[in-house]
Amino acid sequence: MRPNTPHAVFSAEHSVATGGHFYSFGNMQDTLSGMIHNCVIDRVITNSSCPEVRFLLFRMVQYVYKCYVTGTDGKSEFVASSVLHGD
Amino acid sequence: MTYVHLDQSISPDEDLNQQLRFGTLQQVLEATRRPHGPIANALSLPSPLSAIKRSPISSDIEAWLVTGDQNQLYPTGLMRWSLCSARGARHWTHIDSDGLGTIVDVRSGGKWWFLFSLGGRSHFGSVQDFLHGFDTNTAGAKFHVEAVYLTAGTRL
Repeated sequence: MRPNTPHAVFSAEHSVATGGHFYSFGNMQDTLSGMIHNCVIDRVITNSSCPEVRFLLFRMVQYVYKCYVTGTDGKSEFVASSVLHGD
Repeated sequence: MTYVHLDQSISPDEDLNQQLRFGTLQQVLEATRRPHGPIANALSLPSPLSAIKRSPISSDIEAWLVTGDQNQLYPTGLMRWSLCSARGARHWTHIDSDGLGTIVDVRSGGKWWFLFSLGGRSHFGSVQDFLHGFDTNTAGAKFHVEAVYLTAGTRL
């Protein structure tokens, strides 16, 4: 599910699920909008807060710098491709 | 270990804090076995021992692997979690925090996932969306809704 997607959940049966979060270069506009909503109306629109993970965005900025300025890392071509082409 | 969960058999018309419970997963499991037990909804149970693997949609992992201090720990316990919910548990309209995208793998049971969009637009970011008395509890009339039923083995 993309960032900044309004959603609701109903358990029709007793349920167990595992899950995870991600940041993706392809969804940065949604991430930015979601963070602004988070900042402006907070608990009106979100159910939790996890500011500790935002430093992952800093690492992604470092990654973009690495791609554009110091050269693409050959070990991570598939993400480099999405950064450079905006996929 | 003690976790926070909600008892959603208590009417939402009451103070929602009254739904808040502290207990163990064993208590949640036992609640599901009682015919008229509480509707327990335990969310965001940290899973710090989960595997962190490269994935085309997780640019954060790729960036983590090739930048910065490799002695720093990836926040696995915050980025990987579990949910367990009794039949009837619900989660009202919201977006996930901090601009995060979300993956859900249902392991057992079934969950309806309702995905909303406003005005037929895929991006929820216009100032206009929030004018004229925006309220997540009543916004259903304005939203386009796509309902997805997730069963064991399916991924959102």
